[in-house]
Amino acid sequence: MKKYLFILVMATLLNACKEDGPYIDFTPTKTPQQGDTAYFASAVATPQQRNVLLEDITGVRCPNCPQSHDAAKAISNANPGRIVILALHGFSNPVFTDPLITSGFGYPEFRDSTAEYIITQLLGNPTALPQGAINRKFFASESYRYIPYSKWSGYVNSELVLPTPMNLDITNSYNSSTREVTSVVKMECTQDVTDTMYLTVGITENGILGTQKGPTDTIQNYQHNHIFREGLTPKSGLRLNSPTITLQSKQVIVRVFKYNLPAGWNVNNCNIVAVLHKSSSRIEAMHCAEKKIL
Amino acid sequence: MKVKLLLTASLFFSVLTYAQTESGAGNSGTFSGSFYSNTNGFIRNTKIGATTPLYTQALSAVEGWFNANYTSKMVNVSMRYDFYHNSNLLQPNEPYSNSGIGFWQINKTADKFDISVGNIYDQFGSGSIFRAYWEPFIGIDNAIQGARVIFRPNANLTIKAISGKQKYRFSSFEPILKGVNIEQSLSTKNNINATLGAGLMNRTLDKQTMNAIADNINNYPLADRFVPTYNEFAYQGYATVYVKEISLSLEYAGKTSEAIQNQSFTQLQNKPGQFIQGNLAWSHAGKRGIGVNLQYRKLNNFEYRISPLENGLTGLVNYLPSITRQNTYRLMARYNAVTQYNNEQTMQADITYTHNDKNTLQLNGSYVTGYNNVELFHELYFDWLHQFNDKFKMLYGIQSVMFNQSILQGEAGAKNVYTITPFTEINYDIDSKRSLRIEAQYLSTKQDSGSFVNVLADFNVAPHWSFSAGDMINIIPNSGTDKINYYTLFAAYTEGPSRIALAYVKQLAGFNCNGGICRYEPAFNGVKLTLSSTF
Repeated sequence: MKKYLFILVMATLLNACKEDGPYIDFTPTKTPQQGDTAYFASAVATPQQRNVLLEDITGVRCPNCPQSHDAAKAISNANPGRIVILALHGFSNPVFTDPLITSGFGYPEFRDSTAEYIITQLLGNPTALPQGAINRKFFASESYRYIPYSKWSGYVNSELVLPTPMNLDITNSYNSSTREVTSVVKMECTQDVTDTMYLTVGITENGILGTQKGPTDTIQNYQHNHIFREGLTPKSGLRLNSPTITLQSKQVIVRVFKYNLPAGWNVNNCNIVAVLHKSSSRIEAMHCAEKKIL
Repeated sequence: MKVKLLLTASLFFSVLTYAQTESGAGNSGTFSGSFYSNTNGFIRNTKIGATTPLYTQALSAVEGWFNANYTSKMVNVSMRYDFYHNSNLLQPNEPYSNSGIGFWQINKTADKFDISVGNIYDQFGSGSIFRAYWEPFIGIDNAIQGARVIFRPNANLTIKAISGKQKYRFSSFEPILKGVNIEQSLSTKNNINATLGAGLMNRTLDKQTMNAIADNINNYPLADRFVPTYNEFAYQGYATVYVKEISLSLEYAGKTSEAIQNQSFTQLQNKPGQFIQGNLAWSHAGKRGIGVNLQYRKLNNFEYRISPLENGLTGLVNYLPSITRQNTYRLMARYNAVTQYNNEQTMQADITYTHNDKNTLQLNGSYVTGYNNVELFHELYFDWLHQFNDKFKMLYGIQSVMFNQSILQGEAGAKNVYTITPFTEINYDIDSKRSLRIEAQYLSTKQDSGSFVNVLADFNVAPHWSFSAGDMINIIPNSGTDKINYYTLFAAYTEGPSRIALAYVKQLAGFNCNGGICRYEPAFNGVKLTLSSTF
């Protein structure tokens, strides 16, 4: 009996020693594409206005999430072209994010591994939804990087007035026969940038009809917007410069991304989004952009 | 931060207030302490490279610490106030300024338990998996901020547990360190004594540090990526046996796989580590005494830091000094076998022979190899100490060193340095109060900066005055460099427990070593005013 008890205790202890490591991306890195280039412009470009990234951590089983969707939409409407919204559906909070299966209605899969990475590794993995992050910033008066939607508007306004050290432009083309989208992301420094900068590029889709839990009842044919569908860069971002190298004013970096849209994605509702951000302890987004594929 | 300081100070003075009342009740405590300050005046000298911002902007610096201890039957309380104003102690190339409570501790001994909270300096065994200590002159203060409990069930058994964060300047690193050490002393009727010990350390990385590590790994080529672990364990077992005139020490330590820097410090790799050390000593006292000491050490991926992203002497959790001879004379300490944590194998033999009261000989040899068995260092040393009479003695000797400068000093492409250094020291007691000491070395080498001569004379007038003057000169410089005199002038006045010293120092860039731990520092040129006192 003692022998079995010992084995049981040891097995329990060994199991307790297991840990979940950080996310390491073992998918092949972006292979250089024709068009990837870097050069110096002849003159310093006029700095763009800094756009604000609003990451809405949401789920189809989250009854209060439609309110956060409305809050994000209102902020976007108030600042046309200046807000990039990502609706992030992760895996680690299944009570809110598991596909909602109801008889007779669609239950599309919105969860994505890059969204999961952003939620759990960067933003702090909230246990209750909805929550969201503004420019991935940890605001001094907050306890977490993610904050409730009632506070989003104020923080967005404070971020909109900040400058960006890099301009960001997206140009898309689409081959309808192969469903291949080619996205050219151009980054141009308008001043020296000493921080290590990363680029995250992904695809979002609007206008997907599916079920969504609401405050009182399940909403049929709810229109889901800004769903983060796929990341085209490593989940922690594509590093643009090593920590010891400063990106210099007038430096231009161009990266080309190609992706075949899966069947079922409506290309007319799909967007390419690009986010310039830092990493490690200071992960805040410095600028972002969104461009429809068609 | 200010709130923390106020709380700590309040706590300290509250205990002192209580201590005063305790004193009235007949349990008087003891108050002791010390003060040390050093003021530097930086004098720019482009010839020797004394041109860092310390010389171009800061121009002067003050650093020091005030240490206060209260010891009573009830409780022991210690506190140290540190101040660095334009200091070059913590980062030799840049002025650093900050001040505050650098150390505080409350300790209580209750029967078989000894409990401490606050900042803790301690080590397990030789320190191969854990040592927290303070060595301010090379910028080390890696106290544990947390708690320690020592349990001594009997006179021969000690169990120690520690938990906390590692101190970094006036804050701390975020990863958590926890550890336990057990040590047992044994003795037999046959005059055989032994000490056996074992230790276990656990370091848990914080989320922020791990994110930074993961960021790095995610940007490596796919084949080099790995999943790092939050928890790392280091373990050790050691034993020392004494049989009459012979002692044998053996130690093995290991580390579980963790992210550590690769050999060229360009990328993290996931590797376990090992450490093996053995020491055999024989000493025979008698009319003709002899002592023999043989040492062997092997390190394999045994860099153990609070975070793999730290480097230099920052964030070291363990203590692995070089086991080669620690030289004190200026030119003989110029080239050192700096510990190579990732891969090193060292052998050393040391023999001391005392022929009679007047003659003692010492012979030392060491050999160090690194990655792929590349030779890093060797040293052959011989000295003869001859006592002519009660007032006059001389030491003569010669040292030969091979130093792999490209690896040990990180000078890419540098040739190996080969030196031969004859040296002497003369001690002469003029009378009961006055004494004279003269040392001289000639370092001959065709590599690095060429050959040097160093002569230094100390003159002491007890009990108050000390004077010193010296000059080191690159007597045969390598092509393209001028001959430069590195003068040293020094005077000190001692009054009881207090001492004030003024010095002019011109010093070549090189290693500054304390206790076998070395730091490469830039050249120094300037004046130093040092004040120290104990009470």
